[in-house]
Amino acid sequence: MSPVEFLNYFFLQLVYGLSLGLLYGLMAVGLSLIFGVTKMINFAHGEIYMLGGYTYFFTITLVGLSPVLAMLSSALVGILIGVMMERYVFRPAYNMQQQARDEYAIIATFGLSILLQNLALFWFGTAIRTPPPIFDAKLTFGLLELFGDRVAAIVISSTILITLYLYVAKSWTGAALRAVSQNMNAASILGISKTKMNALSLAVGGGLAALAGALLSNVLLVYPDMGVIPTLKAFVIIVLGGMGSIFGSLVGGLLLGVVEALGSTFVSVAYRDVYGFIVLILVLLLKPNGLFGELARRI
Amino acid sequence: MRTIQIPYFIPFVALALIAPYYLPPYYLYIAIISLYYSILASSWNLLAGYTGQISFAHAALSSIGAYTSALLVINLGIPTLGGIVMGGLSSFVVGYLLGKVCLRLRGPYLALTTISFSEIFRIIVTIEYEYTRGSLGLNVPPLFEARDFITYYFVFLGLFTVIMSIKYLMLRSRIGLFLRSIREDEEASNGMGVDTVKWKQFAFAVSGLFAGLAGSFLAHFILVVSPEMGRLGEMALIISMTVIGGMGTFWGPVIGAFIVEFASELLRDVGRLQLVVFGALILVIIRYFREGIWGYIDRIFRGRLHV
Repeated sequence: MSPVEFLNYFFLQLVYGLSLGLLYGLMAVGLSLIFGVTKMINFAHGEIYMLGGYTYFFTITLVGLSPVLAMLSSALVGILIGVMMERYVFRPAYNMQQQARDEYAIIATFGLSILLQNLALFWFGTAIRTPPPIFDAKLTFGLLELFGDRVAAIVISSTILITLYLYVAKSWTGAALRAVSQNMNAASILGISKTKMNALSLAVGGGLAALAGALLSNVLLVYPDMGVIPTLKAFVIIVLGGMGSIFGSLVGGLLLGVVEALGSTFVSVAYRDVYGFIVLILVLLLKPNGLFGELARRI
Repeated sequence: MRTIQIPYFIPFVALALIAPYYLPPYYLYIAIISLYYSILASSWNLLAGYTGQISFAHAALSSIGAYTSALLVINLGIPTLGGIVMGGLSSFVVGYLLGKVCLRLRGPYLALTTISFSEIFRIIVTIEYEYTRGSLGLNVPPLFEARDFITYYFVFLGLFTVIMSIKYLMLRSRIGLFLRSIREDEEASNGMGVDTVKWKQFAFAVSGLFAGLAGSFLAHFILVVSPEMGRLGEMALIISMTVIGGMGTFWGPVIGAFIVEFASELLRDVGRLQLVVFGALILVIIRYFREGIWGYIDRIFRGRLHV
């Protein structure tokens, strides 16, 4: 490969990685918010993403909504699932001891993910579905060709991430969320309802995951276990950025994109999915608070 | 840990010894696979249920054992039994190292690290097809020349008995108390003089050894090892078995393994709802009866059946 070709290839990998990283960031930010506020990990996050993808597909093909409305309905379904998960899976554990709560959260949400994945398999079968794109066009920037859907997804997800960041950092509700995430009991003594804040974090997280499912459905397709890989990537991102930090998720998503691009160019494309995991293990071992150590405690 | 009372065991032992001669081959096959899963679930239970370290790398450790044994037997031509021993040892070493790496990690962080480890292993095995034949799977020579299910059944039953006895003796000794004290409260147990670092690594290594042995025996029985053996779906099965049977109970994972394996095989024609039911059962059991089916049976017979 000549140096020019090589650079070109690296650039393509970089754009590809950054755009996917940003989209996975949408999953990551929800996971991170849920973990920050409730202190419980959600292994069923990918299944909300999957149900978002299916909602998007069926509201277009069966109901005949326009893609934008279908996207909104996906987000709505995600919010509903999130609220129900808080009520029936998360709430029973609020008064448990730390160690028991960790164990409960891991096993219960993992069980929920088995349940939802196989329910989808039972209802919708193994067929891989391709929903229509949100924005059907092809954009060309010099040598680079991008599908309109990917551009739309990047624009939508970065807008949402920035809005959410500002909302949590500046608004009254955001302050309450941060208070609960810092100290659940102290916050409830000061009159903040921890149940409401926990439900809010799951509603926002669920809505974002389902939205990510709708946005990525045309690129990564819709099938029952479509949520597994995005969830794993989202975990890599939040570990990179520091659990509980929204800004960290945004940067973590972009960093994962860079890491995958570097690995794919200089080592091997086949191992694309491995680099993130290696980074996850290294970060946990060397810098357990994430790269934004002091930011990890903020949202 | 209560003492095993021999009289209650006689009917079960008799059943285990006589059943293979009356079971049709298909059921015998399922029984062998159930024994494999009993070992996996029991050894995962040692780590997760007793020591409180929820690892997602158990299926990967079993497939590390299987691949080690298969590759050694195929490429170096060592005897199958030697391969199995090496398979167990390799999982022991990998489990020990994994435990060492994960010492400082807790709860969700431990879960994520072990998931990453097992996914890395699975992807490497899938991609390096020159050595492993990738997702096609590696053809493995059999343990015995004759394809006789009854012999294999007794081999698995023997392995199962040995492993359960070691586990029993271990849990009944001080080691069992050390492990459980780590689960209840690591700082307090450290403060009371338990070398938590040592015993956590011990739990990882020993459960790895058991998983590796089971995995390499299975490879020489089903005659193929593929990356499927280490995927997260297998982990889902192991967790359902342990939780449904009863996490942190001695016989729970065994009952769970037989129920889950037989239910998924026999109800295969009914529909694909088994895993939906298992997922729902995990949710209900972890919230309402943490001791699972075994805990329930135990409660009914409390005072009469001390197992």
